[in-house]
Amino acid sequence: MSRRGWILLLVGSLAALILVPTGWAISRPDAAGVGQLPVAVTPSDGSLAGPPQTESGPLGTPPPIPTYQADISGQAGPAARTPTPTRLTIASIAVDAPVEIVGVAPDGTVAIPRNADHAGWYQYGPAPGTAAGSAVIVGHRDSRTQGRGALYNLGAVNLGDQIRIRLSGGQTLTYRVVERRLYLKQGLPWATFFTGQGPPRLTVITCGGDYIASRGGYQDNLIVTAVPA
Amino acid sequence: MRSRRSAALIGAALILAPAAVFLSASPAGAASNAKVSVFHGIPGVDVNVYVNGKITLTDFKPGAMAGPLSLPAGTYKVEVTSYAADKAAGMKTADVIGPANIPVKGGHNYTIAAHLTTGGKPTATVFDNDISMLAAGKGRVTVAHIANAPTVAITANGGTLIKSLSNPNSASAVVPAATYKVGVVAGGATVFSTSLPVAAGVNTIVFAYGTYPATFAVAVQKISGLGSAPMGVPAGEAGLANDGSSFPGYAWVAMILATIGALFAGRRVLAGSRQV
Repeated sequence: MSRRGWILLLVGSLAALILVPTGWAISRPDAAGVGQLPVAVTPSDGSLAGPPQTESGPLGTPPPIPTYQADISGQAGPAARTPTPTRLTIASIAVDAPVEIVGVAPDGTVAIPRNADHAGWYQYGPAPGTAAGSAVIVGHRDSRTQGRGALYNLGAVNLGDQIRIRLSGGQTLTYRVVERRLYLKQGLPWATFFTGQGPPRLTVITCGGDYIASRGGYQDNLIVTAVPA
Repeated sequence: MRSRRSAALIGAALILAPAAVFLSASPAGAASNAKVSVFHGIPGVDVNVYVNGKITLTDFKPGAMAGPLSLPAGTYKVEVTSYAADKAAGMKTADVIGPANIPVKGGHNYTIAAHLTTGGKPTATVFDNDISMLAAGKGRVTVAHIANAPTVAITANGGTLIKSLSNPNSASAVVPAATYKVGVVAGGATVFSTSLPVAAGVNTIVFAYGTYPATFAVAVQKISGLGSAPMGVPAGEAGLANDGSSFPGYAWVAMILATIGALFAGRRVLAGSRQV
């Protein structure tokens, strides 16, 4: 090998020693994003505010109190005709999965779809497109029997990437990723993500972090937050 | 509705409300306020409701629900009059119900219902609604018997939900969120049935009111915000993905190769420069 060749190898090797760990550090989905959403919770306690009442006429004027006819025939079906999500697409990381409607498993955790290629919408929270709160989509990172899952690539998603949700009505909603973060499973503040409060947002959840078989596998949840684009 | 207090009132009943406006000098913290709703369950009469002497609800119609209002804890004087009589007189007329002094505790959620007794006399009952938290995916269904009707049983999808319920009581059960076929059983026969959606994190309160069967009707109140988050999201099991804090194996291999390369190349380059 020529001297020039050896110099190139030296430079290349030194570059690799720097770039490999740097690239790893950058690519891992530890924490990226604004860290905190502008979650403004407005009180909905019906408390009365406003100017004092003025009397008018002998009876006076009653204050504005919300009143409605409570007859059961006026009760629509269960959140009845709200469109539900049917497909999740994150083109930038080649995620494209049908979305099932999921609930709660007997152990109190979210029931993840049996088919690892499917994502699941948590039906007891807001649906994507609802005016407020966090619509949650879950999906497998991987499965012992089925290999890589629908959200295997989620760790590679970048801030600003688009997430598309197709709804049962045929409409498609577009979201923009604003946060990607690993949370230790133990003590994870789930109420932050499963809530009908706050601005409308999409929360995509899978597993991630260190995989320690003797300690239940993945130690973290990988959570991506997106807001309407 | 863990407890109820049957206010011994005579007449058409009704009650309560936005006394917050009137008690402006008591800026109690919202946390210690009570939430109060009012239900009008006496068919055939429109009413006015006065709280602490001030008109609070006017032309309040049967089957209507008012509130919830956030009220400081305290005792409220409630009176109910006939809307038509007040209107004809141009002033507050004699109480049809009350005055009743109703104590309200902070942090509680009440529904005050004007209704008929079994026997058909107007009365009012204060229900202290169960607002304890529910597990993820569960809903609470509460049935309040405030109808002029005998003791009944309540069924859900054909199974017994509440064994025995009499006026003026309520009972509740925690069930998986779903839509149920709810039936009212009296004397062994189903006398009424309806489809009832029970949402997760919500206390769905059913008021059965009126006189069976002529004016029997059912109203619903929903108290939401009682849901808990699920316990976790077990979304991986094979360890194929590696985005943890440990440096991946392929990266270690690359680092070792690069180190070897750098050592060999460095020696050669240095050796070469000495030869020149």
